Amino acid sequence: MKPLWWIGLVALLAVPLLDLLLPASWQIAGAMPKVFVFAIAALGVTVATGWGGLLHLGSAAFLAIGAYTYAVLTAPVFPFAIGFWPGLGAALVAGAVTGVLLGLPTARLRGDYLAIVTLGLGEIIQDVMRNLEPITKGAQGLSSLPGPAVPFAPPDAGWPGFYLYLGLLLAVVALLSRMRRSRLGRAMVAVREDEIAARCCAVDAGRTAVVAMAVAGALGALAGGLWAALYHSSNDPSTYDFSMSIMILGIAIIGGLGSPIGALVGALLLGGFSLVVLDRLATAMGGSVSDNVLMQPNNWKFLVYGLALILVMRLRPGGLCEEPKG
Amino acid sequence: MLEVTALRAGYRPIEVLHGVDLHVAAGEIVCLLGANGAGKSTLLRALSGLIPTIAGTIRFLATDLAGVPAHARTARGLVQVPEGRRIFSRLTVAENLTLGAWTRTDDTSADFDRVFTLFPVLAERRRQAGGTLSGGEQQMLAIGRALLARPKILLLDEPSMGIAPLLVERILSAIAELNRGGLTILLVEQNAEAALAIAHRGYVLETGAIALSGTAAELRADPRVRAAYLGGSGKKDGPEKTG
Amino acid sequence: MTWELLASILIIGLTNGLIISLVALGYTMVYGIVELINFAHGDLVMLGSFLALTCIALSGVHGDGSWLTIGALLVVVPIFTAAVNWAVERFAYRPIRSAPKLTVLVTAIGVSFVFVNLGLFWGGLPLDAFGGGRAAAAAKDVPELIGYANLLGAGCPIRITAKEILVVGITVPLLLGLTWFVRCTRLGTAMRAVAQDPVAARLMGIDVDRIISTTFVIGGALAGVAAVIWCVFNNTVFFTMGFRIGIDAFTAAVLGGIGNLPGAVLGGLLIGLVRALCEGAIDGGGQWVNTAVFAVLIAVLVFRPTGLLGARVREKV
Repeated sequence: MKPLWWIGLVALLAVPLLDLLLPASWQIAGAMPKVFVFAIAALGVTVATGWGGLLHLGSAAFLAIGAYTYAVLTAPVFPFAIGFWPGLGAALVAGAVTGVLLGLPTARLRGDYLAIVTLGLGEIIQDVMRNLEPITKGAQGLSSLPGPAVPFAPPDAGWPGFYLYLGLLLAVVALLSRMRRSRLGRAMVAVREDEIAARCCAVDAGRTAVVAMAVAGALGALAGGLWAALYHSSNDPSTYDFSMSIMILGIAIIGGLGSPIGALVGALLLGGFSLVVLDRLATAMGGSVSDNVLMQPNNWKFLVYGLALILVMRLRPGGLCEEPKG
Repeated sequence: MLEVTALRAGYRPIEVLHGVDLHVAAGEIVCLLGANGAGKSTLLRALSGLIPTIAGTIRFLATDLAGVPAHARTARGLVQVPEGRRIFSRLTVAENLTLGAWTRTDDTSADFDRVFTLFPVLAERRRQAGGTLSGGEQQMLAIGRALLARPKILLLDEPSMGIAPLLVERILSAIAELNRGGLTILLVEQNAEAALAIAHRGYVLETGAIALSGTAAELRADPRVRAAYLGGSGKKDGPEKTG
Repeated sequence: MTWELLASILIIGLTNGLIISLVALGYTMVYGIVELINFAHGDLVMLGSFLALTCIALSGVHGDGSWLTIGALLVVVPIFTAAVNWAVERFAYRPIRSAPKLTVLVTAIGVSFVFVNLGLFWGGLPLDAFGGGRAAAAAKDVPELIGYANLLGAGCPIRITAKEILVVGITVPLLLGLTWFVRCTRLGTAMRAVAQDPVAARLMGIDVDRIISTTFVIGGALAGVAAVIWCVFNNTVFFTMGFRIGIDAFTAAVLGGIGNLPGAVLGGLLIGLVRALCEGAIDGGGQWVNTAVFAVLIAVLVFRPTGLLGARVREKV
């Protein structure tokens, strides 16, 4: 790793300390775990789209699956109540299984058609979660879920959650960096570059695609479980809409599609902007919420996303930290 | 008519042509020989403006073509029949020909008739989709389509490639016939024997530069050409060149 | 199910399907020629609808039988959307046209987000029709331009109003005209040629950039017509409506075989029917409309990956 990354990592680790110096309305450590959740979800896109070349427009569907799996298995209204860690594990498995189920029939669809199928899954999942009221509690979602459990940490402090989520994220980054160099990672990239040539080298392109979808599903659902734990609620199903999928895709792309570190950087930029900066700005502008549409920071979100995507694609199509060739 | 000086061109980082000089006078058939990868097709693409020129000049009818986009070069009368024919396979023969005349605003019916006399098979199949024609017929269509643009110079990229030998002769004699009618032609061929049979002059392109040039007879007699492009023996002369 | 119910479901399905077809044509034409899912296309309909509502609000001419207003809107709005689509192609897509597909697609998503945000700002204009600009994100009501009178007589169980007549009367000639234009005119032939082989088209002397611009202009104008009809037919506009419309239309285009004009119309009609059947014929089906639409799409893609009328294109090896 380059020295720059180390400096960035240390700065990230120091955020909760920095908060001790700031007035309450400017503290950011509490909001950062959301950014880390988006980064984990974006890493799923890194695998599916960046390596596998499968354009994935339905990440939010996997977040929803993870969030609801976690919610159903941990919510006090149901008899399971298996707790934070088993709940996360179950979410991960559910995501991987969904990824495989989606990948099996669609693995031979490439490019744009697969994109529309993943997009469709995102819409269907919202319908399903909204309409299966007995299980999902419809539009309200399931609430009173257990939050992140960190052994030996004071339950109400913000920093254990921060370090737990950051730790999980870094673990995923490390795991994926290894996976990229493994046989499987190389096979995925080979299929993306030239499916026919890869087939000629005895790479099973269909299986590789299914594996890529499974990994993407598992990471998306893991992120979903973490998201639900953070809010102590599965949230309204419409949280997991297309704009969430696009935000995740944008994070993966802006940092540099295919690079795990890139997804991290993208999350800090885009996620940091929308979840931390805009939020703080809105708080700072206080209760004087104006009628004027232009005066509400959140109303500029899509414009900033859109322009960011357009400009990065135009000026630096490989993303801000492009994966070196070869 | 066409004058190329110190032309360098290629595909983004890679330069394929390293300073090519070549000229074609009005009324000539000039052939361009060379092995696979010598840069023949790249040269034609650069002439047509499909790839940018890195350095050097291309002058056509005494004007510099720098900055003239590909479609405008066709309008000026520099027309290419590309490698692999590239006819519009889902369009009918008649539609393909109509597109050939895209740049024209005058009456094209006489030119349609001329193409149909030159290649009667196209008249028979005018309502058929281009993709249903045989390779040789597709080549005729590609040439006919180019003729409808009313070219002043016709660039032909490997018209004999992948075509039954009988049709190769038919197509080459059509090219010679067009030339007798006054059309200037730059012919790229791997089939050197056939090309030298109808050409007046020729160039040999090797690894992006002109290695040899001369009249067709000189090239046929050159031992290097005989060894590399005419199957070694060079005993058998092609049909007498025409025009 | 009674036959009256079935008939009204069919009427609703087919009229909605025609609107979807208009938008789907914009997707499929652009895809056919530059292989880009123009994600911003649905949002272009949204912007057109906001313009239509603004015009109605500013002119103040509405109420039953405002045919002149509709006529004026059918000129103004398509010109606007065509111009916007032209500009998007010229300034956002053209500079990166030779970049990998994903780059262009992500740019299109970016454009879509910019449009959505502009729609949000537009909804915040301090006009009475926009609720005085106090709730920018809220759906806005479009004043009635045509009445609801049943043309088959007040007692007839099947309802056909002037709105349905308007939809059919505008879309069907437009669809036929477009098909004729693409099949039979010189420009249409050139468009098909560019879609097949842009390099060969350039060698024919065809200015490929201009043909692509023309395609975006035509697609944009169709989106504008769809926007006006949407306003008249559904009487509501909101800044996120483009997404829903875009999804339906894009699904329709894929269903019919993307790049294929009659396919887009067929797909649009099918999507319209599926939606109407799901809403009208199944108890509680209204909640499952999107699921039904996508289930149909996924089934078609799995069993016939190139769509219903799509050509089976061999991949180049």
